[in-house]
Amino acid sequence: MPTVNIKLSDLLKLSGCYVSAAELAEVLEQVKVEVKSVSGDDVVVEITSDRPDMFSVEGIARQLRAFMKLQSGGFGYTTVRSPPEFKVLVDSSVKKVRPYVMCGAVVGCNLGDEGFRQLIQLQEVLHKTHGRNRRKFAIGIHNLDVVKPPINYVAKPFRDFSFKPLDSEEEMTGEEILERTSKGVEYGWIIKGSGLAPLLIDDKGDVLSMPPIINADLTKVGPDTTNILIDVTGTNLKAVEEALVILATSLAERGGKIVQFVVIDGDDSRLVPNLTPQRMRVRLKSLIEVTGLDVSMDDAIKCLRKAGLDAYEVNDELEVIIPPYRVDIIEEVDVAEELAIGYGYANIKPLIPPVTTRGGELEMTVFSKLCRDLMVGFGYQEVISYMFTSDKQLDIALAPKGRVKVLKPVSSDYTCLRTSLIPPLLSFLSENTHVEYPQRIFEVGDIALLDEKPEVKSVFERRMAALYADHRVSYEDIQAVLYSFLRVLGVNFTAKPGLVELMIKGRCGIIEVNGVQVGYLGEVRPDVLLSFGLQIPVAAFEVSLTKLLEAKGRKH
Amino acid sequence: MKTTSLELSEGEVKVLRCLKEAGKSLDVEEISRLTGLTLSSVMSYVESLHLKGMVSLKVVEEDYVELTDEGKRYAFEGLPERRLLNALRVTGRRALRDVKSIEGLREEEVALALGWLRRKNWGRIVEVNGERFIEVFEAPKSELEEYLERMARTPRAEMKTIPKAVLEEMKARRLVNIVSIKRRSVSITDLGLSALEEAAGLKVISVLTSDIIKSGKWRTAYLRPYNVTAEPPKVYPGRRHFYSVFLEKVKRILVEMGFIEAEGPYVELEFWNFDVLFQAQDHPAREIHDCFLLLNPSRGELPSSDIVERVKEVHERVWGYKWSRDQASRLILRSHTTAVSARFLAKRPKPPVKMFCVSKVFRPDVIDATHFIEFTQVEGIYGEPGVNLRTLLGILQDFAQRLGFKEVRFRPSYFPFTEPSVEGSVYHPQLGWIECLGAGMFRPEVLKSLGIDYPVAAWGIGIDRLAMVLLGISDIRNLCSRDLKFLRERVEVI
Repeated sequence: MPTVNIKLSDLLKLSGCYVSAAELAEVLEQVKVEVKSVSGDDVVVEITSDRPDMFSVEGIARQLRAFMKLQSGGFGYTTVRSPPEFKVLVDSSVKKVRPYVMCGAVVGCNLGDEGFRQLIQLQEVLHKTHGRNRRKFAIGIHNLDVVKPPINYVAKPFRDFSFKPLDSEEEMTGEEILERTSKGVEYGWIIKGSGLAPLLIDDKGDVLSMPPIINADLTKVGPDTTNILIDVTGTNLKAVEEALVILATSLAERGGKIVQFVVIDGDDSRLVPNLTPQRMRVRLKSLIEVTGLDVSMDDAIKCLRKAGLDAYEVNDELEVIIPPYRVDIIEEVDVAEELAIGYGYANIKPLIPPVTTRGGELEMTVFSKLCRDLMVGFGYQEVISYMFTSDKQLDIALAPKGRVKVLKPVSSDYTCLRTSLIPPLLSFLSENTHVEYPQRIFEVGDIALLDEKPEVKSVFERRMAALYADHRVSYEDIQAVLYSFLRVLGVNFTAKPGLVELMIKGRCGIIEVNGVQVGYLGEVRPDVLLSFGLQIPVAAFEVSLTKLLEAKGRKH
Repeated sequence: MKTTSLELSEGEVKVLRCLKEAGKSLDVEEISRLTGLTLSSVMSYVESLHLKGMVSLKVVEEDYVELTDEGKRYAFEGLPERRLLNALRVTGRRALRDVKSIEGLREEEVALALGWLRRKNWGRIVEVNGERFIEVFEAPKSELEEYLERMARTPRAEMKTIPKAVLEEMKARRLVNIVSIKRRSVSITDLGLSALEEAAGLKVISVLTSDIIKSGKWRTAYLRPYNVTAEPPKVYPGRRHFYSVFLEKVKRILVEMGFIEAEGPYVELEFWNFDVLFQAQDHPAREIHDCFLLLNPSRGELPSSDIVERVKEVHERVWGYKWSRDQASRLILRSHTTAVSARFLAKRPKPPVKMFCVSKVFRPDVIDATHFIEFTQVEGIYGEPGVNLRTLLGILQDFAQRLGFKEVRFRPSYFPFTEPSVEGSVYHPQLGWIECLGAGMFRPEVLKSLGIDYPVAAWGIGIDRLAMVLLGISDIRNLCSRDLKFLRERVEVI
């Protein structure tokens, strides 16, 4: 969830809601804004990612005003009639690079330092989140006064043009920008592959921007810029349009007037940003069904207005009007949530349903508990290990290959899932060599092994392993426990000598049930013990509880 | 009838015998004196007998009187008044003016001697023809003199052995100083007594065996007492791991609430983890930094049912992009147990549906005191016509209260697969509000993909955080504690 820095005084002034910081936190929490910290006038808030319209203080103020004063202000932004030359002409050359573009302008802005900071922050947060790091869309902000519309959106080979990029002293070709500017290095990969750079060029022939990399220094914006041009380019038309609407309406919250552009793309021509609110016809009954809130039509309208929408009653139904920047409202349930928000989550009375069903645990859960209790009875301490482990650990414990491995481990200690419980238990012993012996430990847990058959190309098994470490330990010590364990469970098993890589040759055995191997036991090889930093003998067994349960099941 | 570790050396036997004969506690000097052993050997014997539990030691602090230089002189020469008396007894009455020249009495002692003589009524001054004479009587040896004589032999005496009147005089005449001395007082224990008997060849039994019981030998033998309060060797019980017990409790609560348990694979298709749950294929949660993509196995098989087609249709309609089968068939370590709920619902169970899952999920993160890459989630769904947001809040409240949290509060939240969505917090008296209950009503897009036609409330709880609070653990890595000493000695919360 994105965090945004705002000024408390700015928020209060923009919203007209003069409340204390503490009260503000409680109110904001009810509209999906969480106050993370307050330090003097500086407030850090976290916004849920479905509300990009609140990624700057203007949007938060707009929401706050609706919630506290029932003023849904987002419907009547003043627009200035667009001059005929306010056009964006899309050249077909961009289709393979970055097909969509939209522009809009806001004139008569009075940004000041804080307004400017918010604008830049909004641009950056949108880039990182909904813009997918500029891949899906990227926003450019320009000084409209130095631009001469109409604007051409074309793609050119990187060496065929040059301009002075933002904050640079010299003119560079497209190639140089990719190699020599930090933004070029960071974002160049998004467009490099096509061999073409998308460019916004005005009627004078000046390059305004090379999206999604960098703007021209020519159109640089500052706190004093009053007339602002916004461009959004990207790979998804809907996302591009949403970003433009959010930018334009946020700027308009500070008193600017929106000027629309006509985007002409082949036969398609549209006026953007489209500020027409969306309308949705909703039955009140449906909203009540989802929320469980027993509200009247009038109450529902009031709640929706508090949430920042508008609504009217039309033929026993609700006509819900959704401001253009509310990109989170897709269908009826989204309106239902708005109803609940307007009602106030804090005011909703939870309804504990009567228990009418019979609950139950998985058979394996019950069986695992029984096995744990038995091991405790044998005097063994239960241990919990992570499923995540390292190939290195599994290798020194000679654990089975065929491991589930992650593509990008966060640490060399966690590269794959365990294929046996014994390696992490040996590691446990090595972490506790200073503690009194004997040490008798066990674990019941899952292991993972590759398997071609299942749809997820791997299988999981519930296992149990027990280790006995002391200055003198023998095969018999662990054998006695395993035999007793199996007999108490009524398992009809056969034991036979076998080869277990981890164990000393001639001092290990295989346990079978109905001809299927269900486990093994033995004395751990001294070389393995030493690799784990252990200087005492260890006897161990591991059994598959999954297979034991299957075997029991077959008998019945 | 054998002693092993309790074997006694000759010196130890001497010390024990001395103590037994004394019939009281003695200090090491006394033992040394009585046994003729050197003080240092007595001390080492006493030490080893003490370890065996055969003697007990008590440190006592006692006040002693110690003669001053003056006291010492009197102890040898006699009190000045006694010396005066003795001299006069030989020479008879003596003129007062001649007293100075009496032998054995120093000049400065004359006045003192005369004073005490008269005060003790050992003599008197008489006047004959204007001349003053001193005349003495018979005076038996006083208590003070007796004690002084005794002390002439030993440097100091226990203060309590000296009568009060004598002590007062000694103090008044500055014959003694009072010193406080710590003394180790040794006494024989029952074990010591029996060991002594055994050493003397008596039938003492230290280990009671089956043979001794069967043969009847025990009837005539002496069962040596033990030092029953000595610290025993340490033993540790076989114990459950506290976190595993806690998770069982969580499951029990959900069973009581009428939920049945389900499980799903840890290695999961992105399809079940994301696509079915209405998360677009370019959603940030699906990036390599936010979920564990697998190197091996890297691709699985999508289900063959028409659920895949429904998911594709929803994604393409709502977000306007080309949905990729290949990405949906990528394998990951599941990042939430909601994948288990999705698989469960895809089987189209008849309502009411109440399912839970307590299992591991995996997410890349920085590993520190509050974050780990593998953690336990408690997942639950409740589906039935009539289930709504209020019912969902009711279930969350019920669960939190059954876990022991009295207060719960809610605020709106966002999850891609639920709407309305909610985040619940529980109140902890020390830690305040703890955010832990993520929940919501499954979106119609999700239900439609799964083929479910009734509302479903769903939640996922990061139980590790609640467990840390309830079990009093501050580092998440200690939740699966691998400290054997801690596990063995941890005090149960009852």
